Amino acid sequence: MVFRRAVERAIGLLRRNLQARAVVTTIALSLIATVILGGFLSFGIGNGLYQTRVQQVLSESERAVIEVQNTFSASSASDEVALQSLINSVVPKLENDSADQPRLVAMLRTPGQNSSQLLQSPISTDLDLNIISANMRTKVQASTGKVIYQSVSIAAQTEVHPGLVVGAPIEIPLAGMYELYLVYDLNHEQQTLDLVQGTLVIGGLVLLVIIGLVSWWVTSRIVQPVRLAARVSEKIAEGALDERIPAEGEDVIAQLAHSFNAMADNLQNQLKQYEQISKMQQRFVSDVSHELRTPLTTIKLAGELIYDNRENFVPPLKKSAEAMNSQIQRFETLLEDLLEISRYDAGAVAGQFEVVNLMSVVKSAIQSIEPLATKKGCEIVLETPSDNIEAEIDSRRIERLIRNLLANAVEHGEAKPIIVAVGAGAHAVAVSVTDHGVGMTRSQLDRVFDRFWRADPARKRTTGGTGLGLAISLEDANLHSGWLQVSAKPNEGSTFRLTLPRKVGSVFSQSPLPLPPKKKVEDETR
Amino acid sequence: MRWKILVVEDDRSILETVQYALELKGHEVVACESGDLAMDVFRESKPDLVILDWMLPGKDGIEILKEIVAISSVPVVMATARTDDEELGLAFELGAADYMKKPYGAAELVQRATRLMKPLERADSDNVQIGPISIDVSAYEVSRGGAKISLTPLEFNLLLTIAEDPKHTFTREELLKKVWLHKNLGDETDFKGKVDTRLVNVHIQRLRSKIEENPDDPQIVTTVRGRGYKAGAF
Repeated sequence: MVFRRAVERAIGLLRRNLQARAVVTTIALSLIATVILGGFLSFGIGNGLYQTRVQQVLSESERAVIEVQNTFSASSASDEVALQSLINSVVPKLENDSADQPRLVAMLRTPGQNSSQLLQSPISTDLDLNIISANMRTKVQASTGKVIYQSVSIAAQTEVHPGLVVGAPIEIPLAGMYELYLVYDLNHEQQTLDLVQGTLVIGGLVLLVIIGLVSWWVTSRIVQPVRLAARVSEKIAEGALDERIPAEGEDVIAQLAHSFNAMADNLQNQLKQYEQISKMQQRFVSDVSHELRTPLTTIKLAGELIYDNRENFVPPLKKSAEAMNSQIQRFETLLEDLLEISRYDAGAVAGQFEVVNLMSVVKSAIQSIEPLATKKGCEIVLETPSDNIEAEIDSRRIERLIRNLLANAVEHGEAKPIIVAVGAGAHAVAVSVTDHGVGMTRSQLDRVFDRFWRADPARKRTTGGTGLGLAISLEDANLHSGWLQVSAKPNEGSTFRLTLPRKVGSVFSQSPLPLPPKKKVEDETR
Repeated sequence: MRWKILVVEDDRSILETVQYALELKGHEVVACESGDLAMDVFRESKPDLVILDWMLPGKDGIEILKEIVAISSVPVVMATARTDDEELGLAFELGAADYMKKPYGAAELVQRATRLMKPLERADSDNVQIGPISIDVSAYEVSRGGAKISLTPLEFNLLLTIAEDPKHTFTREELLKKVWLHKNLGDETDFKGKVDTRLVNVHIQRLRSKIEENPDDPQIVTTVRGRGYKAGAF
């Protein structure tokens, strides 16, 4: 578990840290190269040492064999005792005849002979005859004077040394065929090879450390400016538009810095321009507002005067006064809505977020629409899990939004009950407004949030909507990073569902209320 | 009730129609077309209420507001077509009793002015107690331990509204609707929210400075953080 976590952390570090990745990659590749090179060197040296020694051993052995053979051939010994003493004087002497190292000697009688002469075979005391394999002996017996060799392992005290066994047949007059074996210990060569290999390994490790340090140094020289660029761009992203990368020299890193700084300059200028445009737009909106409001004030005051006295007029004049009065109100709302939407377009809207009880906002919206609903014969039913649902919202905008949804529901609800459902989840709150009126078709649904769009242009508007209500509502929902969604079926009604985060900036993925709403089972007694 | 209302407005057609409308409703109107003359007219006519246009040639509305507040407690309603939050906020801090956004109607004007001019009418309650403060509704008197406190009608209405429902926490929006008779606040979209609540804050502060022993540590009208105002627990 601990090990696995350490590995995961290391992998995480490599994924995040460009420099660590570069250094680790360099070291890993260097390690492979060093191992290949070291293996090659070690093999070459070992092989060279072995071949030289083998040549030396063979020539020494040949000389010894010839010497022994000559001694026996030239001997005049005619009886068993004389032969035995000759063997005893010649063979053990071979032990110390070698050039630098002592060798072990064995003189064995070739089995399967009928000769009666039986001589004692001289064998070096340290020699274990098992290292002379049967295979080796067969080869030696078949040999015609040539020396045969085989590499073997020699047990020497606690360790095992590499060695060579060299053998040749010897013919002793009167006694028959014998085999002379010389055993050479190659420990000296092995030690040399060990030393060379040890040096190679240490050298390789030192080389790897040096390569690691060098690559770390080199990459840090390259990564440092990149890291600086990353830090600066992060700061710019956070809004510190004045941040720049210091650019020195003329290399590719300096080029990066220059072009990065140029990009930041452009960005800053663009933003300044947008800010200016936005300010001009706001200024314009403010001016238009003022210029339109002044004459509208007179019109409204005068219109009210006329309207208040409509009972004194002849019927056509009275009708005109009523029409004028309602249109003045509509004009006023239209002006408000236009200004509001242009403020959104100019990006000049900042929400006033406060933790409030959503229920009081919903109730207040219902209360304000109730007179209109009563006039149209609509009942508004409120369904809520709790009377206290806290959320951080711009309560004025949300109240306006809900009021707007309610006004639409009343207008299109055909005097059937309107259901207002409130839901609360851990991260989101939701309000849905459902009417059971005319509903909408698929293609109407797609356009319902468009500005000045009307589901049915021929349909009389009775509640004096401006055609901007839902567009503003959608902007209000967006201001909260919330959703305003709609679901509808022709002749069955429509549901608008507003989902808002509980806190400013909190993320939600699901609305606490279903859309379309669950169908109420009318007859629950069954 | 017949009031004398001073209307300061540079747009002659507005001035004339406001005058007709208010006179038809039985009030006396003193019209003034110039900001520079406004103070002289004010001193001379001694009105019960002032409706003051914001943008006037010469001396502007803010200047006149400052001068009126300095010498009298007559409520001043700012009439404005402006949308600048900061400047409106300044007007409330200087002591404007309310604002009317253009275009305004005469009916709304009179209705809102009523709240500034006279106390709320209460059929059921005659004497309301809030801590050491007793409110005699019919006599329109507020006293603390026998000593009378002089409140403007607006302050009186504010205190009475809070005192009558001592367990309820009033949000600023609620107070604007109940005391100032502002319509649905969502409609007042020109004012991005801050201004309206500042209007409440300023008048709560003024009320506290008259009724509290230590206005910096209010006991009678307490603040509920992030919510609004509430009667203190006694």
